[in-house]
Amino acid sequence: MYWLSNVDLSSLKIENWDGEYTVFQPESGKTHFLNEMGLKILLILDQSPATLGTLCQELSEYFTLLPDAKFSGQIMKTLQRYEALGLVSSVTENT
Amino acid sequence: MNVGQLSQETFRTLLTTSGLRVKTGPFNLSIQTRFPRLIDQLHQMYAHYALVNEAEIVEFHVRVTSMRSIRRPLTRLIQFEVDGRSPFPPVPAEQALATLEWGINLAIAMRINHLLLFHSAAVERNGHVLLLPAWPGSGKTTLCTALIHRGYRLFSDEFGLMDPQSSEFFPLPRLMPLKNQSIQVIRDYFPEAVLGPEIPGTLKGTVAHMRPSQESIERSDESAKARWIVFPKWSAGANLSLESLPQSEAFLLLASNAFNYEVLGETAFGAVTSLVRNCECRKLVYSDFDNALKALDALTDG
Amino acid sequence: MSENKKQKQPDQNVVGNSTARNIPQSSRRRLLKSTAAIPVIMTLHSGAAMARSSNLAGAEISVHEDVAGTDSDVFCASHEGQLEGGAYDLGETPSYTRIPRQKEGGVERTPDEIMQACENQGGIFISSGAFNSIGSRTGWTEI
Repeated sequence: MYWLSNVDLSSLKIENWDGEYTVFQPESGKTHFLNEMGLKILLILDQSPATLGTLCQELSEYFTLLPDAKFSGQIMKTLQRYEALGLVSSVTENT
Repeated sequence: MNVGQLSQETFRTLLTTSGLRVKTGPFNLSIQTRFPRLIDQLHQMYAHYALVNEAEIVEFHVRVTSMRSIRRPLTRLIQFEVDGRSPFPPVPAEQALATLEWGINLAIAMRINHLLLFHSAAVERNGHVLLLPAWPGSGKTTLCTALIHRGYRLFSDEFGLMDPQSSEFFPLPRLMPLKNQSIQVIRDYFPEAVLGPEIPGTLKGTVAHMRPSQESIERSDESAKARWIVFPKWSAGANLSLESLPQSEAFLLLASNAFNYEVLGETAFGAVTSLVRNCECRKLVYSDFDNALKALDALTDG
Repeated sequence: MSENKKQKQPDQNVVGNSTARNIPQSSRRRLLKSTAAIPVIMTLHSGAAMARSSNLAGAEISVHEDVAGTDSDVFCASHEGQLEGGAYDLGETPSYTRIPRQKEGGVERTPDEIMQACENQGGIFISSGAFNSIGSRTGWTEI
C-alpha cells in the first residue's frame, strides 16, 4: 500500500508561525494546526506517492531520528487522520 | 438628536408605537415595548444614543412584550422578540432590561457575517485598539469597565467587530452587564459610573448595567486597527503577570473565540492571521485592578 | 476564560501519543514545541459549528446541589432528542425553563415535584458544569 496527496498543496493556505503551521483547507473549510513533522508528511507526499516505509525513512533522515515500530505506528495514525480529512489517500498496489 | 433630548412623553410614544430607532455603532436598532419600567430604564440608560431617521435601514427590530403564564399566574413575565421570533423563554418582568440587552447581543452574534465577530472586549488608546478576548467569568467586562474609567475609549465589552478586508475594528458601545460581586467592585472603584438597576435572579446571577460614556457613543463612527491582544484571566490572590503569548497560540485562541470564524472560512483565516501578525499578544493574570491597569497602561503607552 | 474551557476549543484531533481534547495548554505547547519526533495535527473547531456539534449533555437524574440553577430556581433544559449513547441534543440555541424551588406562597417544592415539572415540559436537568460549558460555547448565557 502506498499513500498519495489528495490535494494540490498550493491550494492550501499555509502560515508559518515559527515552526508551527496553521493550514486552511478550502475544500472542507477547516483550519488545521500542524507541527513541523505534520507538515513535512504533506510536503513529501506532495512530491511523490510513498509507502509507509519510505515515508518513515525520509522523515527519520530529515529529523535525524532512529525509526522504530512505535514511530511507524505514529506516522500511520497521522496518515489515517489525513485521509479522514481528505488530504491524502491510500492506494493498495495489487488492486 | 439623542434619546436624552426627547421628552419622556415622546420617548414613551415611540417605544409603544412605531418603535424607538437608535444607532448603536455600525447597526441601527428599533425597539418596541409597552412595559413601563423598561421604558423608564431605557430613557436613562440609552440617553446618549443618537436617533435614526425614518429613511435609514434598521438591522434589528426588537420587542419586549408582557405576558402571563398559565403555570405561574401570579408572576408577570416578559418575552423578548427579534424580528418576530423569540429566542428565549419568558422571564420575570424584572429582568426585562437584561433580557433585552442579551437578546440584542444574540441577534448581532447570530446574524452579522460581513464582519468577523470576536467574543472580546475592545478599547482604544493612543489611536489603537486593545482587544481583551475572554470567556465568561474571566472578568473581561469588569476589566473593560475599569479601563474606560481610566481614559480608554470603549469599543465594546462583548464584541470585537473586525472588517476582514481593512482590518479596522468598529466600536459598538452598548450597556455593559456587570455581574454579582463586580457590581459593588465597580461602585466602590468608580463612584461616578452610571449603573442601572440591580437585576437579581438572571441566569448569570445579579446583573447591573453600566452606561457607556457619552464620548464613546458620540465617537462610535471612529474605527481603529488593533495593536494589542491581551488574554485576561482574573485569579484570586494571583501575582500580576503580563507575559508574551506565542503568535500561534494567539491565532488558535482567537480563531476558536470568534463567533463566525467557520462561516467566513478563508476570509476569517486570513483576517485572524493578519490580526495576530500585526499585534503584540500577551496573557494577563491578575487579581488586583491597579496593578493590571498599570501594566496595560505601560503596554499601550508606546 | 478558565483553563478547562479554553482547552476544549481547538484540541479536537491530535495525532501521536496524545489524545483528543482536554490537553492542558502547557502540555499542548510542550507537545507542539519539543516533540518534533512525532507529527501533530489538530483541527480547529470554533464558534457556531462547535456549538452545534457539541450541545450534548447528559441528564441528571436527581435534583442535587450540582444541578444547574440558582438558589431560587432550577433550570430545565429543552432538548431535541436523545442520541444512541444516551446524551441529549440541546439544539443550536439551548433554551432553559426556570422551575422555582418554591411554589406560590413560599412552599418548598420537593425534588420529585421539581423533576415532575421538568418532565412535564419534555425537558431535562443538566449539571452546572454542563450548563456553564454549553453556555460559554454558545454564548447563550453571556450574550
